[in-house]
Amino acid sequence: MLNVPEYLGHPLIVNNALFALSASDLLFHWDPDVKWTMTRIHHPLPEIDRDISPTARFGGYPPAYAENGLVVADETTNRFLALITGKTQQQWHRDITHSLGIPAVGGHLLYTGFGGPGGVSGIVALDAQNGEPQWKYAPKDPEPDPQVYQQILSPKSVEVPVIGPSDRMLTDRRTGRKISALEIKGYSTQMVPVPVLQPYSTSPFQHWSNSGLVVTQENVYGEVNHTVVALNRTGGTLVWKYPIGPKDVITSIVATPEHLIFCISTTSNGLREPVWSVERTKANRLVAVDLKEGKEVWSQAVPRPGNLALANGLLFFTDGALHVLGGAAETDDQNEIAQAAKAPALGAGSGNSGRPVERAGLSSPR
Amino acid sequence: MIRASLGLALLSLLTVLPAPVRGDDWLQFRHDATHSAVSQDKLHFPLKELWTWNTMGPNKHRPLYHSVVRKGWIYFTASEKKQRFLICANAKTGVVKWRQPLQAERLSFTVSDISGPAVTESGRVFVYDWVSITDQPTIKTLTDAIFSQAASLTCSMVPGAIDCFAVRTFDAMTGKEGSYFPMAAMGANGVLSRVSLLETPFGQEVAAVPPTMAGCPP
Repeated sequence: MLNVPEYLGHPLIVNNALFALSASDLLFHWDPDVKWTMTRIHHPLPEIDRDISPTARFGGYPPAYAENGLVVADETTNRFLALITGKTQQQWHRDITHSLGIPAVGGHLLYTGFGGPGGVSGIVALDAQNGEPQWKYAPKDPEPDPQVYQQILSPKSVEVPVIGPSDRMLTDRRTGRKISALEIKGYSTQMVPVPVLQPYSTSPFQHWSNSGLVVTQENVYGEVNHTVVALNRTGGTLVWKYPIGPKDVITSIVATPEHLIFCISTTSNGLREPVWSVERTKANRLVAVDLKEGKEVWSQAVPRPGNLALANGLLFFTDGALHVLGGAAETDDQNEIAQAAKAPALGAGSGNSGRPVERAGLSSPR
Repeated sequence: MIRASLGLALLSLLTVLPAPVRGDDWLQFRHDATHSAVSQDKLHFPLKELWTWNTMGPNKHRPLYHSVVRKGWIYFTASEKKQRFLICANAKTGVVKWRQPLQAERLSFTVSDISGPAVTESGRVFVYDWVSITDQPTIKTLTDAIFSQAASLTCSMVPGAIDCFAVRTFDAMTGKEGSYFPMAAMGANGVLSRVSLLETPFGQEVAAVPPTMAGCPP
């Protein structure tokens, strides 16, 4: 039985190919019509045998596509941010000392949140060509995120001699018998577990609870220190900010040409968690603000924190359930369809449990 | 006779249902490969809920934390009773176009479990799942196909059985299953090429390395 314990994080589609980073140190690429590659990305610790230096831990970090390659990062062990080119080489890499959020690319700049829980202590822009920092917005410059050293076992391949009889004969002094002398016939490779110390963040994989960034022609938008900020894309200057409460976190943020839409969750203890593991929140709401000034134009209570997507004039909110929201025009169209169909097409025949709702506001999924 | 009439009525009803309107697609996590998270389609406030999907698997398992949209069709994974499905529905109405059962009701690495599908512009849906294959001809066909695509020789054995995480593909319009990729294709010994970031971009090491002992989910 072949059971390889590898899992992948968020898929990235570039043309017809899928790229993904694994839970461990693997960069996976598959174009079903062409080829696949799997490459381990290694960031060895200095002054340690490269072959036993602890391997990277991506935790399913979501890679982003830049002109010259893929943005990849390990924010948990021997931390780095890198651009891997199509030839599976590094264009550049930078050692880092902070947690990271979900990366985004606009033009030649790479943007990412960084520092602290959720990687929301600041936003930094780097030149995607060479990794050089271009600007940083961090009202309270965060300290490096703490790490501890833990002992792990790294596999070390060692050459083990294979011993066998030679042509040379010896005489056993006790018995007087002739016996073959032993000699080294060759070497085989065996894997030996070697203890090594691995740096490991006390709060690993903060991209899991990061809300992501929005990158438009003019600005980059994201969560920083209990505010949603609009920053000038090229210079990082503050355009506007929308304050949220001290125990509020943003779980997802998206945009249309006119509005920024995000989900705010008020936690009971102020701690960030990935949306899939949140047990309790005090309140959750979707908020839309206008892109230019950050003024709130709409708000809607929702039962749980979740992720957002937009298409066709519809807002898709996934919090373990899927909620599809539309404006008045879409609602009218949908009601007509539901009336005409009386929902048989939504029923058991197709196995669909999607259902139209008759009132405003989101139903409680729990 | 009644059943036939009802069937015809439903058929005619389905034919008058409007086709999804084409707008800006949301094909993957954070909208596009750069993660801009910006749709070119406007929203008209206030918003109202049009439809929901609210099912769960054993132990209240809900993997539905991401959805993608292509040409007016929404794609997502959801658990229902003891099964997880890849579902394609009309984004505006929730009417299901097709759904495909997945082998694993839950994937043990949570990020894989909740990632949801991604879809190419050309209409191929990628989704994470698990495969168990014991049929020898299937394994041989699969591994032959995989090896023929390999950029480098990474595995030289054909296993007796495969039981592992996999990337599966489906046709976005029909739901017909396409090729799939079991992670076990890396081979039992997991010997893969490696890029070391400590080398310079020119002349850096790309060397085969043994498997990590840290391959399991964190």
